Amino acid sequence: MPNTDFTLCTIDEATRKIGALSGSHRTLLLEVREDKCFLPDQWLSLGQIEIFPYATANSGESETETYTRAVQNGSYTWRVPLKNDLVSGLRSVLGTAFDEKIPASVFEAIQDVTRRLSLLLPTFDGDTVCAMPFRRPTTLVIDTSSVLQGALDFACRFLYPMARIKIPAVVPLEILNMADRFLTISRKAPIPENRKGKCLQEHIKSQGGQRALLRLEWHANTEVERPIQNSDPLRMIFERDTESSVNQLNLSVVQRSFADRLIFETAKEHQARQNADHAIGILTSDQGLARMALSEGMQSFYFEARKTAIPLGRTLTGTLYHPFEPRLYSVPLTSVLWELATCFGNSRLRATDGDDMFQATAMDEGLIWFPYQSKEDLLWCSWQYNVTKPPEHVVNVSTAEHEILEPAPVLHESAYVAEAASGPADGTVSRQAVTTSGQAVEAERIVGYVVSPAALFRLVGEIAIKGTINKTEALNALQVNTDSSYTGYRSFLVSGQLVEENGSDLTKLPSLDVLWRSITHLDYPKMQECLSQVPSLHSFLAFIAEHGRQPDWDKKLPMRTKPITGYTGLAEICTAAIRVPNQGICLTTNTPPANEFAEQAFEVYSTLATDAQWVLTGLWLEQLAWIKGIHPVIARRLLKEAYDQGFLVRFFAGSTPEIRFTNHTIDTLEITDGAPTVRRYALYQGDFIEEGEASVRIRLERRSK
Amino acid sequence: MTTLRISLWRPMRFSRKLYYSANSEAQGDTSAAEPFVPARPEANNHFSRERLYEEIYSWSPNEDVWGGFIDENLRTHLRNLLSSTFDASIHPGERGTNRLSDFLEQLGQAMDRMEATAWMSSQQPIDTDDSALLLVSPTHAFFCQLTWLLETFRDSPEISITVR
Repeated sequence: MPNTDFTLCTIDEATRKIGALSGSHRTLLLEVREDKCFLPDQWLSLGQIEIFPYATANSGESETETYTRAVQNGSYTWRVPLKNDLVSGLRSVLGTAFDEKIPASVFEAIQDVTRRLSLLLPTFDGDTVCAMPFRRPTTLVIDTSSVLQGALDFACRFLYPMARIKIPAVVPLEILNMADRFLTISRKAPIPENRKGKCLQEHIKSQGGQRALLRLEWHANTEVERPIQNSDPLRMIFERDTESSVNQLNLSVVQRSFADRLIFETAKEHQARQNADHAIGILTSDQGLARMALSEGMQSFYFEARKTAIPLGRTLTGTLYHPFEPRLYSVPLTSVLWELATCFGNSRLRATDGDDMFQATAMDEGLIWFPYQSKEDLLWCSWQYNVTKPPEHVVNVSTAEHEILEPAPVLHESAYVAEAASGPADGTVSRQAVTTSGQAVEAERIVGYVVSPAALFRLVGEIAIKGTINKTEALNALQVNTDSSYTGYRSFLVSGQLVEENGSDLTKLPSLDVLWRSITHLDYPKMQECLSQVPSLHSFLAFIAEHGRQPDWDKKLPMRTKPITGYTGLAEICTAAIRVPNQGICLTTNTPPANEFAEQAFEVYSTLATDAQWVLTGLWLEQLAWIKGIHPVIARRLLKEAYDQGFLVRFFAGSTPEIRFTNHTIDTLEITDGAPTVRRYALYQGDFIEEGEASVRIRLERRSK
Repeated sequence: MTTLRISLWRPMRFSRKLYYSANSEAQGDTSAAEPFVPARPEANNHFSRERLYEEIYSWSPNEDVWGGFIDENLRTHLRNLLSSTFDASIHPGERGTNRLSDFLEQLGQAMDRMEATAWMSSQQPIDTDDSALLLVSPTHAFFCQLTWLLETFRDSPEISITVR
């Protein structure tokens, strides 16, 4: 549902919406915008996000839920652009306001964001890391650089509670001054071109720093001490900014050395009140402060955050190893969006094709701020996804004047290849649409419908039993409550001439009974024949025959992203094809007799069993499909037949599932209490091939009769 | 699953003079014990200070860091490379951070191939649902961890690394 107005959202709400967005678009563009400094409607690209959904054995979990879980638990990669790409992007979004100093500020901002989020870690002095994790309580007195550049977040996440955080008053005061500078510049409307760069720098620095302190106070379990500081010395740390572009604005800058001294004095005062052996150190990336501390006998925990391990051009991941403990930690994708929105004003995730997007806004002239928004970490959000456009196909079928698509005949693999090969030379799939006058019309894109196999079978069963159902009954069968969800299923069945529409009712046609019977009797060849009458599924299989054997087949498929999962599931369920992660997808139309199966099975087994007799069952099944075109469900049946008929002997072993390959799954059809259900197996789990027997590994031997 | 343990070492920093007994007092005959004279390196029971190292950092992921590689050969190659490069039997001077840099370069090149970026279930449940395990791209995460180690200790003198 599109929401082009802004709504305050919590991080959890935003996570769910991003999950729904990424269900249709697994790869998203990450963009930011500063309203006062960027040209109108211009967004700066910060790279690509790719989301890896959780495969779940619970077939009742929706696609949105699997993606939401991925967003929430760091299952994504962020490909950060190269420096040159960022510079050219900045030139585009800033126009004449661009100057040579701005890229450095933006690079620093990206570095700071990635380190505050712990996507990258600050580079500490080696001696400092040797002392980590702290074995005894240690007080860390922080300075402004450690707030901005992620060392404070590092201490809170990895060193607390042994690390006790102390924030001298000068730190929030310095950050407040940054915010004041930003707001003073930005309120001068319009901002002169030569000040936009400074405005952007102050925006990024000040808001990022303020958010770090707000998070620490309201959204972290870290206990923080804020010593009381007399106002007299604090007043004196600022002096007038005499930089030429902003000197008329009466801004202040910090006297660096005096501010550093105040931080150091805070540490000394704390040391005086503690036991002699209590460890205290200053957490800073300021060399001057670190040297001063060392020269006066105070330990400094020095780090470098902007010159090492630069994220530009790298691929960052949201789930990482804890630097000290044997466990993982994750960074939600929403946190990335929130942090960038705070720094730049606006951030968004946008589909690579189309307008679907999710935007978070922290600052806008038309939006108000109240303290509760910071307390609850709310941001103004707008989103647009799942916008339903009626497929062209439905329009054509329901209107007599338009082309009528004839059902495609049932084809074997060679025929799929032949049909695909007869299409245009650029590899797009063509369907021969025949008009009522007999003229052929070619369509390049495959118009797919968003369907879930389990729900589709429920709907087919309902219609087969009742003959005619109305929309309410259809929605109940599908277990959805929105028309947009129902449209895809209706169009799918209508296009395959399995049902006909009578107003808002659906009435079965004879082919639907044939399909239903094939489902309830697990008659896979007949099921393939009936489902192939749906032109989009037929075209999907034709594309697979020609282009499926490559890892990025789904990116080259001329179909929207969202229907691909459902179509892949249907192809697997009717044993027409199987997807092999990182290899592609292949047709599996080979059903040999038992004796020939034994030879083919042994041939594949032999190529895998080079070093050991035991071969991973999942690997064997996948390669049997890939090389010989035998679907795992068919292979399971034929293996038993070949064994019963004495053509081979098989042994199973291993109860410890191979957790490396949990994404190697297959959807199968089972009949439970007379009703068809879709069950997902992890092929390497060891529970697919033999009921009740652990079969992670397999060994085959010939047996001559 | 093979548990990996990466340790960083540096020469032991002595603040006092050390005495190293050449004979074990567990034999019960202390009268036969001969004191070691550190100033005489030609003695047969010579103890060399330079051979004593202290562990300054240790890390064990409790996960299969090689799981991201579908290609068995590639996985085996990199695992063996890491183990052989940082085996404890190699002289410490030959297993410094420069070798880690070389290994990271090879790991980075392998990661550019599709097989190296697979996501898989870890052994750790997610915070909100014990029945679901955290997904991880072990190769990416391992690369980040090693890069951080290299950046931290790259210029530290006399650092050596072992992988067990």
